[in-house]
Amino acid sequence: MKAFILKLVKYIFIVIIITNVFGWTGDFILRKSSFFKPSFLLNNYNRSEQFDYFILGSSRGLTTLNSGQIDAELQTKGVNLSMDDTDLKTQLLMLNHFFKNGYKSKYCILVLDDITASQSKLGDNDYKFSPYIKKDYVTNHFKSYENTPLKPLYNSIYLPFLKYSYYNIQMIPPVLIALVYPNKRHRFDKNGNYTYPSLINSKKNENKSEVTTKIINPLVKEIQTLCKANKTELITYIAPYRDLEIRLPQNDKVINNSASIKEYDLFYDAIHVNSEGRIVATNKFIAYLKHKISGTK
Amino acid sequence: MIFNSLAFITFFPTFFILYWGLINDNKKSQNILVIIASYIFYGWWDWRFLFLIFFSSVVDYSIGLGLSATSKVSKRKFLLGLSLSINLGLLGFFKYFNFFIENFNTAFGSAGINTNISSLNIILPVGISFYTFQTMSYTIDIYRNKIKPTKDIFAFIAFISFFPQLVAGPIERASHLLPQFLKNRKFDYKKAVSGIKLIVFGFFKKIVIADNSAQLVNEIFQNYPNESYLSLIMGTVLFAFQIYCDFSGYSDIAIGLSRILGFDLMYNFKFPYLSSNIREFWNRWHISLSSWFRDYVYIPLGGNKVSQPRVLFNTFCVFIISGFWHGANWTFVFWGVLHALFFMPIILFREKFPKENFHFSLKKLFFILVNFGLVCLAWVFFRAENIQDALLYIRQIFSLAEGQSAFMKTNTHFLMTLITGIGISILLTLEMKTLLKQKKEIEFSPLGLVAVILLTLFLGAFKNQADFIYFQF
Repeated sequence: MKAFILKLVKYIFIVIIITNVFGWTGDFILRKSSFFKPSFLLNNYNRSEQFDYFILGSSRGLTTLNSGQIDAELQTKGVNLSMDDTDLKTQLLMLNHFFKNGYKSKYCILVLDDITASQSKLGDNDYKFSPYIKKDYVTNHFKSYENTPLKPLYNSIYLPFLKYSYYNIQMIPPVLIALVYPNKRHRFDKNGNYTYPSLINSKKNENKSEVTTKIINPLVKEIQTLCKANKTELITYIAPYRDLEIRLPQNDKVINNSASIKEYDLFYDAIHVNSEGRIVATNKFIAYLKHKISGTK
Repeated sequence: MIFNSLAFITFFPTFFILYWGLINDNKKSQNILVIIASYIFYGWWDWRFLFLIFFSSVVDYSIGLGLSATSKVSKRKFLLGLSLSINLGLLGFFKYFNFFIENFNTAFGSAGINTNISSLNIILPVGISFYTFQTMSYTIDIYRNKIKPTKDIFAFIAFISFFPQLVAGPIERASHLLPQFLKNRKFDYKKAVSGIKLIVFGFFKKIVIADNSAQLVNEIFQNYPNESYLSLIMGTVLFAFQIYCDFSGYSDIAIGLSRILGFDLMYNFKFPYLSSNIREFWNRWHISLSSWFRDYVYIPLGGNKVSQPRVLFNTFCVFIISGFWHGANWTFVFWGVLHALFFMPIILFREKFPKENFHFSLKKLFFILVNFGLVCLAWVFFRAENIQDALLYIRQIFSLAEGQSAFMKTNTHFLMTLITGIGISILLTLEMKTLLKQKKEIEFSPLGLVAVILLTLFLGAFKNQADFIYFQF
């Protein structure tokens, strides 16, 4: 039996070594690439430079505000750090990633979706931060929200292969792509934006349903505090919805564009504008930001 | 508790250490430990059903002793009848009660009589069909004077509840497994190493092939009216490999675990998709169940030593019962009927179908593909929610329906298809090589074994693990 156990241990050891060499290499390749947003930020922007603004949000932040259009119009320097399939938890993580890596910005534009609460489980795209697992803010995030028994992202601090095993479809192909094309970006342009195509829309314009609510998500407060600590002004923005108008109390300092676009043709689906809608939505936002910038100058 | 869970990863090494380390070479203590471990393993799902398995074990243990104590035919018949009634009664109640009630109501309703008997909220105990058949074979074999009953109740309870094969087989015969509980067991290095290899390959089949294809199959079958014919064919082929790798993967792990504990379980699968006709398929697919039906249903009905029409009747009986064994749904019965129909040419033209002899030729490959096509056709009924869905699914294929292709819908779908394809190619290559060498078990070099482990770790669907399909039976 001793020989059997020794053989078993030998095989387990070999497998752990090989898999973790792959894990460390994968992390290294992803950290040196532009494939996911966290490494895109670090590898494409100088940490000593100051941004005028950066955009945080989910897919609605990613596809509604075009930082390229804003920069061209206002001669500013901005970047869109929104990631699809994320909520405020991940946006707070991105904010930490931004500040802890030494970046500075005058404004943080938060494209707010989860007004009242966020889910308590890990976001679907949070694994994109996993190559930075050794950074305390990433470790703490995974520790707090990962609720699978194995906790593959959190435990990948010790065994990097765990995340490549659990998120194999999501992470192994990017490693292989990034190995060959380190500058390849995953569904965003050189400014971090993405847009949905303008499809022929068969739906006719209808009246939007109204929801009256208040911003009570505690994470908004956390984001606000973090921004303040880093001398960044938080601008909260609600992107257009096709069928919904969100009504907020007057004293909530929010750019509420939820009902700013009436035409169905400018939407890709109920919550995302299309490429034409993005131009309209961004223009409306530019008008606000222009006023804001001139006001502070 | 399932094999691919963190709980089992903790459970088995602990058991292994206690079993070999602390109470090595003491069969009684080892059997008691097997019982405790098996009851923990089974109770992990629902502890209430432990009473059921314990009751079943005690009943058959007592009836076994009763059968040996009397030579009176009427009393022996009564005792056998009692065992069968209790076992089949429990199985019938838990598995088929609602099915019969619903069909009873429907049948009378269509005749204009409103019976309106309400069904019960019954939870199906995991693996009930497996251990019921195992325990029934014990009393039947004693009745037939094929085996002698054991007086060692611990050995008997351990035999019924042996955790590696308790919930999804292989369905062992008392004549094969029970004697292994009655003798001293010593750690066998070679056997344990071969067990590890089987476990590794079992996990590869389950996690890489079955679990990756499960997601695609579910999407295709749920949304079949909108899928293209190509996607539907893909769905059927993937389901064929899903169910094979899920079930044979489980069997491999069960056999492997048993070997580590010093037991030999029977082979349950011998590369069934490389069969060139349906008889060969059934000699290679779920062998422990098909041989059970052969020995306890087909042969008592007369087997093939009766007239040809009677052989056909017997074959239909066996396949219908086999279908019904899988679940309380007409789809399973229809699946059985289809296999019986596929069997008919073999019964009618027996001499034209040579005995199994695997060799590679284009003719052989053609028959393998035809046979696989027939098996896949039957799988549609097995997988569909109802017979109407299955028929529509098949009609969509043959009418070359246009529509979406779920297996290429997104990058993720495409990657899952690719991974499954890689897994299936590896599986079939290894199986063909093994068959050509006329071996029963795939052999791995140390490098090959490491490669399989790495492939499992990096290509496995750990994020979207699916339950073992045969647990529901």
